[in-house]
Amino acid sequence: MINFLKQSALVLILAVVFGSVLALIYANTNPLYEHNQKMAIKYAIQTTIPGAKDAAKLEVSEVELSDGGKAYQVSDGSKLLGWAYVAKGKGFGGDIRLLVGLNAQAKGLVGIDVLEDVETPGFGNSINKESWKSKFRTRNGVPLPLDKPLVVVKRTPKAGNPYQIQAITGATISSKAVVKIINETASEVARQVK
Amino acid sequence: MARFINGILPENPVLRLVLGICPTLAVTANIKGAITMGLAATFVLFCSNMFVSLLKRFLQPHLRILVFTIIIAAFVTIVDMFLKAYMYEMSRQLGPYIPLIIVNCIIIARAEACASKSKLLPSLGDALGMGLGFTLALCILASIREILADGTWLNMRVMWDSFTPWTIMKLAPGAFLTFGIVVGINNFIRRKIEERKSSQP
Repeated sequence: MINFLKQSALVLILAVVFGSVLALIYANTNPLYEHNQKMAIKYAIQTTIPGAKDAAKLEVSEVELSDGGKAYQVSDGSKLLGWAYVAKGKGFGGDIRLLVGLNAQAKGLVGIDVLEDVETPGFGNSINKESWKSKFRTRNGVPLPLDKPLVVVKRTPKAGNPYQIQAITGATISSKAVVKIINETASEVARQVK
Repeated sequence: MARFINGILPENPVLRLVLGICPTLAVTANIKGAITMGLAATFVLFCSNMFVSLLKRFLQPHLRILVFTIIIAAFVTIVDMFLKAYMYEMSRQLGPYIPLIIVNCIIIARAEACASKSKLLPSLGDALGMGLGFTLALCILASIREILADGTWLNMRVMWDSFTPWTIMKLAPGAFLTFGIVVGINNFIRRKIEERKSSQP
């Protein structure tokens, strides 16, 4: 027994010392980390919901969804600006995580942001480009309707058809994946938060 | 001092000893990531060499790897928490590769081969040399890859406007190609220098 303790003394001492040091550092850095995560969501909301100008001034409250996820109710302090939620699905290279924005009445799609993706650089990861994300914005102030699913088309969509989204050249699978994630979640979330 | 120089070129951990290749291939798509990774590893290496060297009298031969791992893991966790708190974007970009410094074989190799047998100062010199050598190698690879893949260096545009980006350099094959070519060039230069040395009387 004594021999056993003698041999392992160094390991035990180190474990206790480093354990307490780590606990101390964790206590000091974790609030900052959580703040960073919140701010990252706020910045994404800023680019997703029209009217959300200043990320620092946004008031975001969380609403529980039936599948265990969360929806964010976004307001600028006085006026409800819209709703946002995080949706996940399979892309070409792995999971894609989107932030989807709905309007204040939760009746239409007003914008998306890509939070995380592992799509092929130069092709699939063009879903991060402004030119692609802008296809999901309000058109002339009118949000995209949620009553029917969006469809991916290869040619320029017909003028006035809000259901058609033109695919990115060379990245049809990634384009379809994004649209599929939105179709599977948007109307359901809208129904729950309304 | 000799130990310090040793790590940078003559025994560069990546280009000569071919250690720590996982982060070398994974995080060299752009220079900022490479520098952060290199400095994080240097910090861990410095601290682990310091502790191993100070504690070497108490090391039990059969428990030494366990002790090395405890020390390394503690400092890697510190770096990870620090990055998450103060460099959130970078921490997202490097993803799992910061926690993976724990199994970076440069660090455990230096603890085993140098710090557990040397006095404090040579161990620290060795850690700094190896760490900066690692950072330097990462930066060389990242410079080549970022310039060819994006036409930029540290996000500054360096290539002409009509330059076509080599997408492959951003992907895993680009990492392997660049790595092989850089190691090859390094070996070629080394051989030339040695030939010149031996041909002199």
